[in-house]
Amino acid sequence: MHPHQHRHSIFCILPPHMLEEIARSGGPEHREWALQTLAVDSTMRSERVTEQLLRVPTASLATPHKERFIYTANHASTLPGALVRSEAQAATGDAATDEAYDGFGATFDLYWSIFQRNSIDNAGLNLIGTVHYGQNYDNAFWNGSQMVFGDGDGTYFNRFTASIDVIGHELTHGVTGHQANLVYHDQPGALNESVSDVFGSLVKQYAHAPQQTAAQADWLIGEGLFTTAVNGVALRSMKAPGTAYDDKVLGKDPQPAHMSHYVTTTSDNGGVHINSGIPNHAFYLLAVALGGHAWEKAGLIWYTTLCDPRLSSNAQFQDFANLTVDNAGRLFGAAEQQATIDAWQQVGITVTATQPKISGNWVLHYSWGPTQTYSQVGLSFNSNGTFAGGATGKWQQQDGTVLLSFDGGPAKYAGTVDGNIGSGAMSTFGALDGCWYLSKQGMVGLTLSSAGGAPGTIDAAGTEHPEHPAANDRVAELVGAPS
Amino acid sequence: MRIRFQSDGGVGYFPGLDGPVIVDTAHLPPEEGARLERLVGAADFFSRPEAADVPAPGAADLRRSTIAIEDGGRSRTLEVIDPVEDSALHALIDALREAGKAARNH
Repeated sequence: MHPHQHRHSIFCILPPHMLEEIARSGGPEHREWALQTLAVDSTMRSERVTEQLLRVPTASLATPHKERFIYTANHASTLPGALVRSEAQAATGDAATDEAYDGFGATFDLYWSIFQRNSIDNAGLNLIGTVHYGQNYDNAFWNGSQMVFGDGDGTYFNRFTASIDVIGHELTHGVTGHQANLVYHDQPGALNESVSDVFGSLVKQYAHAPQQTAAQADWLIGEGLFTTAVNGVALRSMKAPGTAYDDKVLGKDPQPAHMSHYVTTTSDNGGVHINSGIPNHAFYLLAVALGGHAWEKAGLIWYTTLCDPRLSSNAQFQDFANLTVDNAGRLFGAAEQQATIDAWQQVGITVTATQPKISGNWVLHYSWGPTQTYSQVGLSFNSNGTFAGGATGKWQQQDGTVLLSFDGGPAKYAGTVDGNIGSGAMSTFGALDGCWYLSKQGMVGLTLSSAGGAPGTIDAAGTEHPEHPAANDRVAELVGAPS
Repeated sequence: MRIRFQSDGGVGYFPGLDGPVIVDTAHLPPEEGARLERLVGAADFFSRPEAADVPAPGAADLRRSTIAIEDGGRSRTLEVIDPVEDSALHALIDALREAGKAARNH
């Protein structure tokens, strides 16, 4: 008698005692299959699986290390200057000092809380800034290891600490430097700039009280930096590139929103602040399409891509777009992947999606014949086309169609997988057909349809999927011959 | 004294500030011309070696300033990148940048 822990009553054409008979006296193949059928794994494992494959490197330090140092250059231009505020010190009353301090904190908090990134280098790097740099200095920059802020000229520009997204923008240059290190010219440079605008904008939305959704955000970069003398609202607009300002002195915002208007120039390192409008707009479109807070999905897709080892320092817009689409599918699913494709399409970049291959830890729920309940087994999918865990076997996948075959028996499971859910029909000896679902380990809220529900029908968070073709047809498609 | 000043880069790219600023101090109001010439002198401009700065690794949004000055028989071109730590040179750059903005604001 096969030991069991959690026996699910299996209402199948072959009652359990017959399966046991097969297990005892059948040929090796049948025996394996019968044992496998009878075997139940322990209930769905509750251990959390951290998706290391998809997630960025976790923090090297167990606790976040937020350490801020604000200096003043006292209107000279020597760096870093004199220390005026350290971590945990009270506000000084100097607006530039306190705005820099708060902006550093908000940037750190976004990266830690949302992306589990421990400061710029993911190892608790101190955040250093110098305010009151120069006289009438109308700029802010990242010098490779610290931020530098001017006070503006007072005529056209206010102090540069006044815009929290500019602070997030500059610190994000540090993050990029520690990740893909996109070279600062032409398309990779525009991507570098865009990534800084994206996360700068997320800092602003995240720090806003109350926090802003993508729909509520204004998607302006550097709002508040212009004086009233300027005919403009911000340095840039991600929502409407090219509309941020149109001024007698500053000129007209030159940003394009589409590849057809890509600006080829030798100025600005090949237009890194100009052509950033294109990927900026793609991010805005995706964030609004997905809804909610922009950092939840779009932000994670972008952050994962920035940290993706496949993103080279010379990446072109197309390369970056391809990776965001791939990561959207791996992180979330087909809907998010399509939304990402659509966003890039709207800015003139075409990405063809490849369905990500099934990987990692899943739970297989299987139900033989007209059964009422499902048994579960944990499976771990390897990249070499095998799976292991509660059962071992092989898998094949073409786009969203997947086929599982088991080492222990002739059963073939065929169906589709989409994001975190798979479902389909199974064929075995012909008489013992059934249906199955796959759910990503850790997924909750999956409701499996009971007997009487058509195979392939699924209720997961209220979503229904269409019925799948007969298992045998699917098997023939995948293996090229009747099994 | 003829000065050609070009500024490139910065956290925002402004087409209006991209073009060269060309100044002949002889054609400026006397006070203005004298001020600029004083700043050039204070920066010891003609004693500096002609050089082009290289940005630090990972640096972004910094400004590159190119200053070419011709005065009498001498001429010199400097290309400097933020941070311009020399305060006199910094002051000269600021003044030239302001002159550029003022020229557009007629």
